[in-house]
Amino acid sequence: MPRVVGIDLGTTNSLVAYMERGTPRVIPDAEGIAILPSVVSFGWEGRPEGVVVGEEAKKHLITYPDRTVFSIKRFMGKGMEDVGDDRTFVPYALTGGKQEVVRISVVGKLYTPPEISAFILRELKQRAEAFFKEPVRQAVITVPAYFNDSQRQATKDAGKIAGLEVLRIVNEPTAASLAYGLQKKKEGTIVVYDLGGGTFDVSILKIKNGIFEVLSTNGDTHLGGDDVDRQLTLLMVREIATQSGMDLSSSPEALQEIRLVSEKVKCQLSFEEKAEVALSFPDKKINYRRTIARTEFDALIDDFVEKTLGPCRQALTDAHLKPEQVDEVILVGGSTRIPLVRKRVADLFKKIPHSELNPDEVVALGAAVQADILAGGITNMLLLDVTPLSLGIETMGGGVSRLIPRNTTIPSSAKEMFTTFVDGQKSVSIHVVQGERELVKDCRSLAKFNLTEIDPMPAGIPRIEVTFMIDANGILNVNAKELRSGKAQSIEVKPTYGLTDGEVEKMISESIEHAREDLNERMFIEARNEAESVLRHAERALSQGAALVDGSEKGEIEKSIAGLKEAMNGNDHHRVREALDRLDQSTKHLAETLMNQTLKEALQEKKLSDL
Amino acid sequence: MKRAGTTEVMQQRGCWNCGAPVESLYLCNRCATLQRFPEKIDYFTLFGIEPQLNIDLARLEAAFYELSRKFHPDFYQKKSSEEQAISLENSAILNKSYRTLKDPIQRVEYLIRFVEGGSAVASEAPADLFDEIFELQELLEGVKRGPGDAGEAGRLLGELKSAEGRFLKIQEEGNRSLERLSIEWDRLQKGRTEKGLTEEQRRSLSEMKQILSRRAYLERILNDIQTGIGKLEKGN
Repeated sequence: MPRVVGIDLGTTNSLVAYMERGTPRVIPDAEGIAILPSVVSFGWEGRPEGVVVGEEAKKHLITYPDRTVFSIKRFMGKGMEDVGDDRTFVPYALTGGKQEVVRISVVGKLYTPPEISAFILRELKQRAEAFFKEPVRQAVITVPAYFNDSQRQATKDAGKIAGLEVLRIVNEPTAASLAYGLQKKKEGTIVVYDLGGGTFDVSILKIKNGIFEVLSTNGDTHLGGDDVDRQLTLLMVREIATQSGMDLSSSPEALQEIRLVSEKVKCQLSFEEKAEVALSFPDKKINYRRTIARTEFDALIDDFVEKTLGPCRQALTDAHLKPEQVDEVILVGGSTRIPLVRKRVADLFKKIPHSELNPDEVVALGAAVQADILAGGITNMLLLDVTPLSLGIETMGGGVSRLIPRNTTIPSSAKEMFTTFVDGQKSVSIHVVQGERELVKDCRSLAKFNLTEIDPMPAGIPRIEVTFMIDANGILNVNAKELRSGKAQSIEVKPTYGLTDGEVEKMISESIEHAREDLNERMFIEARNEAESVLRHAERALSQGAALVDGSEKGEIEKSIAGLKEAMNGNDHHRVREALDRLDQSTKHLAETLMNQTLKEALQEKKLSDL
Repeated sequence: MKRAGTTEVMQQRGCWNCGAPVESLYLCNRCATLQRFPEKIDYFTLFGIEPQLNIDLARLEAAFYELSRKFHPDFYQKKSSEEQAISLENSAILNKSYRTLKDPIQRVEYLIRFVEGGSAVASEAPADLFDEIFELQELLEGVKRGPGDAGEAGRLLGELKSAEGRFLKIQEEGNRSLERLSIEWDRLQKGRTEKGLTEEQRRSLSEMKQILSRRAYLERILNDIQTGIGKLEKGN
């Protein structure tokens, strides 16, 4: 049975887990640490593709803010238009035209969010491979339940670029419920409240006889612990400005440092009643000291916590449930350590929420459970998830005709009939959107599907049946059939904010290409190191044994040395190896002669000493 | 009536894999591979229940879970691509059937389509509520124009809320009539094996249709009222 791992690709941290004899476990790195910070730093010589990932990259956040990428998940499946003020909060440069995926510009290169996420996934893949001592090719990757089609597709693309076959995209809160259900073996109605670094999800499930049926889901893909950090950062920047008259908001380095301090303060205030802040920027003559009390912190994040409760209420309504009908509430995600969050959740659902599972690991563990189900390990558990957003198509006048309502169990499909309006019309365009609003402009554009190569016929005669299928990943697939001929109708897909299949293929081949370049580079470095030591020996031998060789032999050796030196200045390890061989050949006689002489001398010395 | 028994649903079809005639709804008896549902499958046959309006929801759920275990793509990960495609299609049909039959309103709508063959229920303005609806439109116009001052806004909000209450009550009455008619329909249908509908059944169906079209209209009105209330409350 091939290994299928479960991956939690988080905004702040990522983890990989696997199933060991019926129990999900996280996979640690060589130092025994399971959590990999979702940070990628660029421009490091001697590293594959110049990239470092994780804890090491995190260290460069302050020193190299413009080429160290964090919170990339916030930009997955997005265009420049919907990036909003996130753009000003990250110190790295974002670019992209209208109706194009966002690109991150670092060290003179452009990367899409899936490519950057792929670096994180590749690191986790290598970690798992080192752990199992065998290749890992298949994975289940989690996404926020409220992720739309483009964001899911972007995550799948990231997996592909990293060399993984993504067997399933699974929702984070439902993954958590699988880990929870497996461990607790309880039945009933549960609410999973998942507040991570950058996203918020709530899912309501019914667990019965091993079936995990999601009744409703809601959330906000733009709400998380990062926002708490931001509140604290803004507070400090404001106060520093008042005290010193210095506006630090234009200094990426200073902002990054304040952001990291904010993160620490937040964590500290989850366990203690107050936190001390000390920030100093000697070059700017700023010395900022301050105590932040829990009560002040609570007031600061009150709106933030309140923002998570609206989706909770909506999820209850959609599931036709009252808070009293919920049996248990499970907390997932690092931000649920904040006491005010716990209190508000307890108040809303009228019960103390559970948090005994490690909120950082439970999603990855659940992904491992789903991976095991797909691999055929666990057969009695089945997750029935829903699509978080309604799917519709644009109608005349910019309205939306809803095809699949939100909270429909997936897989789910809808069929629509299309025809032509003009005689001889050869193509029909269908604009597919996702969202709950009535007008196209208020929904999210997913893609334009063009039915092409329609046989020329009078208007209204072609009958093209289009099937919209949301698969178990929550990803839309569209196919079309001309009913009169029964033939499949060809479709062109133009994703609004996604990468086309062609683009993904190109990125995959580029990453393989890079891997080859990396390998070449490593082999060249090895060859050059060897050449350096051979060169030293050869030159010494030539000076020691100058009297032992004739002119032509000496000339040949000198030529070989020059050739090797030249090869070492290039970048082709083959040439270095060839030059090494030649030098080896040309010095063979000299080396033997020297060796013999040394032996002779040694023997003579022995004789002398015998005397 | 058009109700098709299992035998009628099952046109002659051969297994896509081995060609043997397929006799069950979704499995080949000879090679045990998964089959597409017959094209004319109806939701009642799919769940193995009588075409009734009062159904045992616990039994429906149990059947849904059992069938989910048979079709879900999770269990076809290593099967042929054709079986994967069938598992996806059958799951989608199963999920849609369950969603429809689980909801009492959608269930009535489906039953009407099922016995009458394809006619969708259109939303129609109820004649007896004409004055009421006319007044409401005036109110909503006022919201659209934007209330002149806080006083007017308060008045509009109050009137909209009382309208909401009245229409919710009317909707509630409709639901109760629908329940009564559902019981009647099941009683009329019980034990019938012959085709075609009795006079009483026709009357019952037409009453249900009327309520449904009224319901659909009121649903839209309520939506407008709630949007209006939302607008006014945000404005404050």
